[in-house]
Amino acid sequence: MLRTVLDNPVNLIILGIVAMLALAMGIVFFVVLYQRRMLRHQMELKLLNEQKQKELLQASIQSEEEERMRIASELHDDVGATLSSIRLFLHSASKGKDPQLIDQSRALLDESIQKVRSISHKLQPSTLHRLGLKVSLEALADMVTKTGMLHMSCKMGKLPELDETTALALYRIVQELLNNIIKHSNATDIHLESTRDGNVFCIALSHNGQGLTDESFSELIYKKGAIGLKNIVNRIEVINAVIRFRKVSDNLFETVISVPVNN
Amino acid sequence: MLSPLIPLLTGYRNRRSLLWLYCFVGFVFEWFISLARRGLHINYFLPSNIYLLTEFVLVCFLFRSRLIMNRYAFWTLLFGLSALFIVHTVAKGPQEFNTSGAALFSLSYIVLSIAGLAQILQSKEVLFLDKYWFFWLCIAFLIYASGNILLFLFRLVMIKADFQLYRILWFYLYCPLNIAKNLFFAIALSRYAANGIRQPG
Repeated sequence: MLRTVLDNPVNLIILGIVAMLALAMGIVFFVVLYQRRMLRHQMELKLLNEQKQKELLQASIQSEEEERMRIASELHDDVGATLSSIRLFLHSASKGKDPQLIDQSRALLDESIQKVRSISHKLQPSTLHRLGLKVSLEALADMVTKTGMLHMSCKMGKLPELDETTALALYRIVQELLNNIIKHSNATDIHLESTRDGNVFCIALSHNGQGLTDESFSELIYKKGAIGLKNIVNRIEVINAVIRFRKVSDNLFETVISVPVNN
Repeated sequence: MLSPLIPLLTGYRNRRSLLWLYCFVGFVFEWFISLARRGLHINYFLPSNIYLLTEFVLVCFLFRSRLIMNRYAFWTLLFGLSALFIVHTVAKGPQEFNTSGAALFSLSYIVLSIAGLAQILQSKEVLFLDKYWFFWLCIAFLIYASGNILLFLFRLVMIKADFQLYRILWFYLYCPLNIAKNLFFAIALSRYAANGIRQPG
């Protein structure tokens, strides 16, 4: 039966026509399905991006609120209490004319000045403004080493001219990365180094503890919390920089921040 | 015969577009061929051959308006196939219907339509296919040419084998495909927007 059908050229031509039409319909069907799939994929990506932006914004607001709370508590608990004591001492001193009380008040005043200076320094590192990023990062490394918990070495070459925003952002990112290393990595040695490759300035921070990779960093920033990491992303975006996390060996993790600079 | 009227009326507001002109040319030729065949009883293959060539030139320019194509490739396609068609028609005798030429043009429409659809898929601008006139244009040509290419190519074989069957096929295949093509053109013209990617031709 089939042979008889196929022996007739007219039947073959009709079969061919049907096949061609089916193929054309198939192509149209495929295009429509593929386009729908792509559209759905794009929508998902858009939603994910929006969610990420929202989380970053929330992290930024939360971080600002936390900073305000920290400053408020330091002012209230430390400076406020010391100033109240001074007030009491001065009140007593004005009645009894006790020179010892005046000396104590003076000491407390010095302490208050020191505390205000410390708060101010945390808000805006004075070394960064006066002496630049290189000295500030060296001072930071020095401060970490002085804690005695771990050793931090610093090898900073000649830094390019950076605007204040970039310098502050880089300083804060390094500060946050160091904070994370101290808190989570169990590292004993940290090394900070700067290099320059054409129009790109790089700061590399390596340590011998347990660190992050690009994959784990991407996972963490999408999770709730991780405000410090989200702030890093925010700052990186502001200065058009790139941050990469990689595992060099079992006991060596490296984070590299690359920022474009002008010649 | 009346089906080209659908896109002409639907897209009357866009009568300055190339797609509308294409539909208009198709309508005029179909009427003329029909008149030559039934009313004047003269040979209608010569106007049919002229129509095939005119249609091909218009289709090339229609696709060129949206399809990103190398300038040399476009002119080579246009002049190459047109020259081949003319030479073949003259060699065969202009009073004969150039079925091979028609099949060749159909093949080029299939290729152009697939290229157009591939470009639509790659484009990030096109979000909703049904609102994009070029998508309907590609579908119109793809289905029309796929259905007719073998009918054109094996016309003589079929006439020799079974003329009655060929007439039936012509009536039940070519005519519905032609109507479908004109309906798709009507949709394409109705998707017209004055600016942007939806502008026809």
